[in-house]
Amino acid sequence: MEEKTVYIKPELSSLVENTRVTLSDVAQVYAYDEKLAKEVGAIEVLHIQKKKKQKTAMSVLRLVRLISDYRSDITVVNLGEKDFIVEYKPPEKTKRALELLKTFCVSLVVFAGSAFTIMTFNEDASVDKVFQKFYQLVLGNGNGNGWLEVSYSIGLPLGIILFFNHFTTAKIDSDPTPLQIQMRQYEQSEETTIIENASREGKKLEK
Amino acid sequence: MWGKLLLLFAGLSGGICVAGGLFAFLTIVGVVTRLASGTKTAKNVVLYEDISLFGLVFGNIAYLFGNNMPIGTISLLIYGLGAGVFTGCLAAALAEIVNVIPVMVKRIKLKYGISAVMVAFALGKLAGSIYQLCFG
Repeated sequence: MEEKTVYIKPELSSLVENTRVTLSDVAQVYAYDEKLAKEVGAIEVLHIQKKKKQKTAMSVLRLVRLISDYRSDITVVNLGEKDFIVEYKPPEKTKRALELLKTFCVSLVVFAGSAFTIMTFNEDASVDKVFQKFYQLVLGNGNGNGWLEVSYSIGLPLGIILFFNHFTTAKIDSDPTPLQIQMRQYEQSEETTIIENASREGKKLEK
Repeated sequence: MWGKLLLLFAGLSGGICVAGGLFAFLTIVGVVTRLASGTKTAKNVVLYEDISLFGLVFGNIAYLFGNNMPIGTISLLIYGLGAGVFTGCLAAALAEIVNVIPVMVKRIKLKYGISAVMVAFALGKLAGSIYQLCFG
């Protein structure tokens, strides 16, 4: 007997540049019969009407239905997401200059903001007074010639390098940095929100 | 001698802990991720981490050692704008992380006009800030 099971694994979010979106664009397809996998992978699952940036939420049921329409004797096994997003971006050359400008602006905000935050913290926590107390405690007079100031200033960047796990390109180990993790989490919750909103508004492509 | 060594050690440890705490807070609140996501420059987050390190070092040195830094009005304006945007994002993100707005919206059963609430939030911050800086 011929094996007619097709395994699909849709990705939570896939980026496409063609208006004709095929099954293999949104999911990995596996079947024992390679030819069958190729045929199934070429099924069109979505046709983009307007050539502008858009995100479409889709249910795996639609994929199952389309595969069954193609050949009714196939068993589909889903190993990936149940609901997922197809993001269409019209092919365009990336605007390098604009991207650099944006990066520059964000860098400026982050730099100024970071400087501002540590100054508000130092002021708020009266770090200079704490230093005076410390000098009094340790040296018996309030004049320590900047020992604490200097070591505190060295400690701060050390703490951040430890926390962020890298300095420019030199990484302490191969773990992702906290901001990379946070970025990934933010993008994931963004995607689930789009799916749930589309579902609520009845815009999700169920079947 | 021992006193000074103790001071060095205390300052160093204090700095490490303060930096860790401050940046853990900033990361959880997610200001930088939001800025990166909004400008679609998410692949540069590692660069933004470096930049925030430089900003922190600069701010700290300016606070502790600087008493005269003639950088000019225009640089000051740019710096103020950047610091303002960052603090605004921080305030908004902080309100979001503790779920103030979703809870309020749910309580009074507000369905439309969440964007109006956000605009009001921003305008309120502006009004409060102007009042405090001019008349406070």
